Amino acid sequence: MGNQGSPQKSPALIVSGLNFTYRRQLNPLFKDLDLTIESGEIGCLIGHSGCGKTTLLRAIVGIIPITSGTIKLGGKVVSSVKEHVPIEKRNIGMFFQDYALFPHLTVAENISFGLFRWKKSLRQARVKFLTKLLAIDNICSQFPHEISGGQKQRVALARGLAPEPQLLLLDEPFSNLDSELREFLVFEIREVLKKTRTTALVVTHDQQEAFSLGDKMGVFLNGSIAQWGGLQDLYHRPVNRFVANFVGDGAILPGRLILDKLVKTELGKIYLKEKLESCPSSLVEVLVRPEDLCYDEKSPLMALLVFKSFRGSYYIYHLKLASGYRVYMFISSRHKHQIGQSVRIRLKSQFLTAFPLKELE
Amino acid sequence: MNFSKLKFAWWIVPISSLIIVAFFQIGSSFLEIDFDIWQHLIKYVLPLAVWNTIGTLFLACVGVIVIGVSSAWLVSNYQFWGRSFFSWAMIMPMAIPPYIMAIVYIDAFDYSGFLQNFLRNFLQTGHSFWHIRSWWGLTLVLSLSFYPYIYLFCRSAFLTQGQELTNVARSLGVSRWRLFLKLTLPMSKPWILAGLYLMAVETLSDFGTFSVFGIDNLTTTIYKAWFGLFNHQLALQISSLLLFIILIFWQLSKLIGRRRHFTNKDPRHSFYPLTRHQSWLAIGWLSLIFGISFLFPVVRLIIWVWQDFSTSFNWRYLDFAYNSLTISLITASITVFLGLILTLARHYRGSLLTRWWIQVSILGYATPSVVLAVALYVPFIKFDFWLSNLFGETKILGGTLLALVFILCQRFLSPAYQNTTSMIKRISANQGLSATTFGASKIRILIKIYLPALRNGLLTGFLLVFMDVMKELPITLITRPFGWDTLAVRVFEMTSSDMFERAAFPSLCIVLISSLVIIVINKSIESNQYG
Repeated sequence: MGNQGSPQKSPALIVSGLNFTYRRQLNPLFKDLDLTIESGEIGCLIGHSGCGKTTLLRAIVGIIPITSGTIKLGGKVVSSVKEHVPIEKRNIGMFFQDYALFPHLTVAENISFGLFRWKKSLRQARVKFLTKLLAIDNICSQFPHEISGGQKQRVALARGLAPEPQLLLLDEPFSNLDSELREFLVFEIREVLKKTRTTALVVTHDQQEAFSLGDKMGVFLNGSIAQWGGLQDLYHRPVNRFVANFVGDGAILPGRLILDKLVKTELGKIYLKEKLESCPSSLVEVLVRPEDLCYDEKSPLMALLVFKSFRGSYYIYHLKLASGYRVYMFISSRHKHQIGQSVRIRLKSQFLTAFPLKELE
Repeated sequence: MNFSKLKFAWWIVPISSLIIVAFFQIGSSFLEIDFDIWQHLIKYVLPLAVWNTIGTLFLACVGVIVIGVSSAWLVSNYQFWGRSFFSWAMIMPMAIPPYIMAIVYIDAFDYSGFLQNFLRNFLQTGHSFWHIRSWWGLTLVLSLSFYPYIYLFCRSAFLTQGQELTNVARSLGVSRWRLFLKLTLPMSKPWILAGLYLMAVETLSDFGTFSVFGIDNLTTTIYKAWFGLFNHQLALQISSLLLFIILIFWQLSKLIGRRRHFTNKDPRHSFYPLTRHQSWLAIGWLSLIFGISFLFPVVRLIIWVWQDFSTSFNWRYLDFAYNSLTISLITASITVFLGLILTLARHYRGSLLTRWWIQVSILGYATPSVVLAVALYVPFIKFDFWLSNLFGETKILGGTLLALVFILCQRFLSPAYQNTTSMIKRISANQGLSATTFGASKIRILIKIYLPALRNGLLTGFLLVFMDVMKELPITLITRPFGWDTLAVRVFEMTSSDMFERAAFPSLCIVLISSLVIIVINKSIESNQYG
């Protein structure tokens, strides 16, 4: 925050080879988990509830000790088998799902709670700066039970940011808010994090949040991070069908590899974006996003409309192909197809993503 | 529910009749004031009694906070060998009524007491090492008897505050010690105050301990005015002073602990491991408290009984025990039933008036036993007198068991009501409503939904009242039928004539029965929390 010189290039957080198994449980929660976050970056981790996202944050912040691997913060090991730097010495900000504001302190006192080593004038200036930045300067003397959910969230954020942490961890920051407020706040919080140049790791189960908040994004799956990268990469180049299923909508169709990058499917011939590596047979699975299909009156390809979901300016059609596989399609809401009717569709995108079939089992 | 705003649960009116009569009596006692006696009282008696009452209360507050908060902090935050044992062992002193604790300590530290002798020989001094029959002795006994209140409240405060706040604070760089001072303690303030208030009411209304110590407080003064001077009006007038002091404490605790209780939804709680040395310190401190507040008194009583069994045991003790058990059982059953009625009244007709009336009904808990007994004694006699005029010689309420049960019920209604109410609050209104949509009648809902859910609350309430009655002294002393003694009364009579060893057997009975009750309550609370 203070250093305006050359931006540090070293990663703010490196988690490597992390393993963790809850006591009295067979399945490990983390299996050789690796994760790196560059300085000043906002990383978003998505995954099903109960997959261990929160536990990962708890391990990083130092609430739980780890049984193997290392966690490095700014180049310094904070957690390893031998070492465990206590929470209070890590300088990691933590933002909890239910905000965990101190109920007996006012908003201003909450924010300055971690600044007890600062000089009084600096402390006041810091509180003033943050409350102004987050537009909560009008509620400074109120108590947590007197303010709204959105305000609580900002206070919790301000409190976490106050001591200028090396890293800010946010656990489902928007889950307690209603959806309208959520969209607005996601944007705001991104602004604040960027303005304060905070390195942050956010875990959420909502991919939309991750899309609008993060610089990088990862999918947490079966104890490790299945894919970590830019938002576009995850959406357009998922490494496997699980990631594809998790990020964005889409259907998986079987196909047969004819050439290196050419696949034959029920929808027609498809070119792959990249050549498939380690493909044991010619059988593949192709990811078809809703935007890959379009309605075409002249197309020979027919599909049965089984369900349609109204989204205002467009519909999402659930279509059943002759083989029984389902695909999804966006279509303008001017169209008035009936459920049970056959709809002519055509593949719009030229390049798609496919996965070798071996992952099926 | 809107439709119930104006509804008043008329059927709860009789439940509070006694408390209203009592307060009416106290109020009307001022119609006739004997200024000569009051001058004497104000000059010679009351200042000392009030000073003793308030002074020892203040010291005992310090004592219970030190013992209660520290032990609760240790068992709810740190992991060490024996933690779960101490977690429930620390509440065991509740089984020892303070007047029995007093006997044990007075005996040990009196001029010829064995600890006094030991210390005198050890320190090679001729004079007494410590004068036990003083404020300090009294403070020690009160602190050891009443710290479990603070302990229980603090433990539940510390355990329910949730790990999350602690973790946030720590991630902000706060050390454990600072965390305790800045976060845990301030957040527990409402709990600590609630515990202190209960303890203050107990101390202010204590009769047995102060009389065993021979230190006059307001309750013993009331008793003396009643038994020594046979001055009913005067006793009631002094009672009003005592009630006024309790009222002040009530207001104080409300004023300081205004903010609500903080609980966290996250039930996760982890214990911080201690190093070997720290563990020994923690175990040492808790063992010391457990030792002097429970183990030592119990062992002392057992030794007494053992030594003097042939002389102290008397077949009449079986009668006393039988009387104690009967009165406790009857009172607890009736009280729980009344408590249930109040709970249902609040639930079904929870208008402002109903709730207000319930508060009046359970005021007995804040009314010292002596006051309640003295205030109701005369109206009971008058009632009998009035009946006698109508139907000839009748004795229904004057010095009868019925009167005793009535007064005890009124005194201990609060725990029975509070425990069921806290349970019924967990049942959402929708649960009852959803049953109604299936066409279930009110009675059926009550039997099928509410009673099973309230079972634990009813049981806890029953056991608490049972134990309270077992330990209760002044009401039984004043209103019991002639010659009808309980264990507690026997203890009091023997100690009044300084025959401590002969009080040992009934004391031990009380302690053992109460211990059993506490263990059962603790089990039921735990299974309720985790089950």
